[in-house]
Amino acid sequence: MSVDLVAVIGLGVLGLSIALCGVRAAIGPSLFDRALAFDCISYNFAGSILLVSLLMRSALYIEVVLVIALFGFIATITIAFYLEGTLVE
Amino acid sequence: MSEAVTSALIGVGVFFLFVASLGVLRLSDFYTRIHAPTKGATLGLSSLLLAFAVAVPETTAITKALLVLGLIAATVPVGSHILMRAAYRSNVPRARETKLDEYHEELERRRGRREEPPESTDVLEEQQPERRL
Repeated sequence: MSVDLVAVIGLGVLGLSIALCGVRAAIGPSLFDRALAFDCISYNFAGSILLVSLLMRSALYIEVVLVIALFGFIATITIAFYLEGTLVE
Repeated sequence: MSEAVTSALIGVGVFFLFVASLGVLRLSDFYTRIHAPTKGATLGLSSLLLAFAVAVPETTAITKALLVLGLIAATVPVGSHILMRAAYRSNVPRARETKLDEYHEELERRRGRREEPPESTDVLEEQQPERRL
């Protein structure tokens, strides 16, 4: 199996993973579940961008992964403190 | 050889990311649900980044891939821990099968300790007139 075929199959599987997380984000009982589901979606999205970049054999798109990882962390912390109630008094 | 390594790393990474998403959907409880993307996404994204570094042998690609790998390995567990701590303090319901909750006693102890300081503020108010003099 060539690398390209594996990468294309992996893109399909990651799309399915994003759909699974989207279901959890839609039905999640609490707001924390929705925050967690969107966090997981951002990881899957970063993985699929990595696969696309690997298919193109270029190092251009890895900065997108860097930015997604950074902003995912900041967004998680902000949402957590906001929902806990300690961000704004 | 490098193609085989890349294919294996892609397979491992996609598998772990898929299992993480499946855990987010299928597990019973928020506190069990958050385990899945914490471990799965860290390992899956690390494998995909290593696959990228093997497949694109340029200096910039390898450097940036290792940078993102270190960033993800440092931030994802911390972010998940903060989210779970906030959820616990907001009383997100647990599953009925939960048997052990050691953090509850610790939290009560800390809250009790935090409410003690009002006794010491009286001392400060007594000392303030002396400062004005």
